[in-house]
Amino acid sequence: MVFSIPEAAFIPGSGNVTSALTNGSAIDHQVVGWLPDTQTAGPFSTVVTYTATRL
Amino acid sequence: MWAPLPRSFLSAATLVVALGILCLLARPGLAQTTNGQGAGGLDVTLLGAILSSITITVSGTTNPGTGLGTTVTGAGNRGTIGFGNYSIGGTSLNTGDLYRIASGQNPGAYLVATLRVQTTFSGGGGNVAAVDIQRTKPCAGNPAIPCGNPGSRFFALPPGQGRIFPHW
Repeated sequence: MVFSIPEAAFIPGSGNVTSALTNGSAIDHQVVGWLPDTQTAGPFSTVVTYTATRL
Repeated sequence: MWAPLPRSFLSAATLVVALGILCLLARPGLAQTTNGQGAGGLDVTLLGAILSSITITVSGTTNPGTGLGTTVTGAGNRGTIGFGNYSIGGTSLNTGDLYRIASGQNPGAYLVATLRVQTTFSGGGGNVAAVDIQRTKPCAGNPAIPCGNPGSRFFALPPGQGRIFPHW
């Protein structure tokens, strides 16, 4: 599964990445940034927020 | 009037990870209390309790496709991934993976952090948890990472499945 990460929205879409994580289980994932060669030089940063809710 | 807080509120946990990229392009237990003081001096105390709790841990892990790891620094509910300096045509970062796209109409580079989010339950409560991941300003200008070709991405491996991450 490959998802784009929209601004101000959880992924994928408005739902959870998963709603079935049990105690001690984990999800491996990658967060990827793209830097085109045309990008003006400078420092870049982004913030990823994780939210977990026990059901 | 006070109603018990929903369990989903009581058992939510949030952790923030900042992905920092310094890019130098070589040009090219919950208790709630309120007090009321009115005629007659009425005091009202409201108490709540945590019915269950959950802790989430986000850590760097190894990309099984390349053997390269990602290091997360920080403490508490904030962590940072510092990729370091990148120059066009450069071959390495401080951490994570670098995939250079040198050909085509839109050359550039993917900077990839491989991470693991894990849940730990304590106390009573449900047997499963929902996890959301939200990224702020993925496609805005400086200081956010720009989009393009085909943009900022997220890739997740379901628990217990040993599939390999893509080659970006």
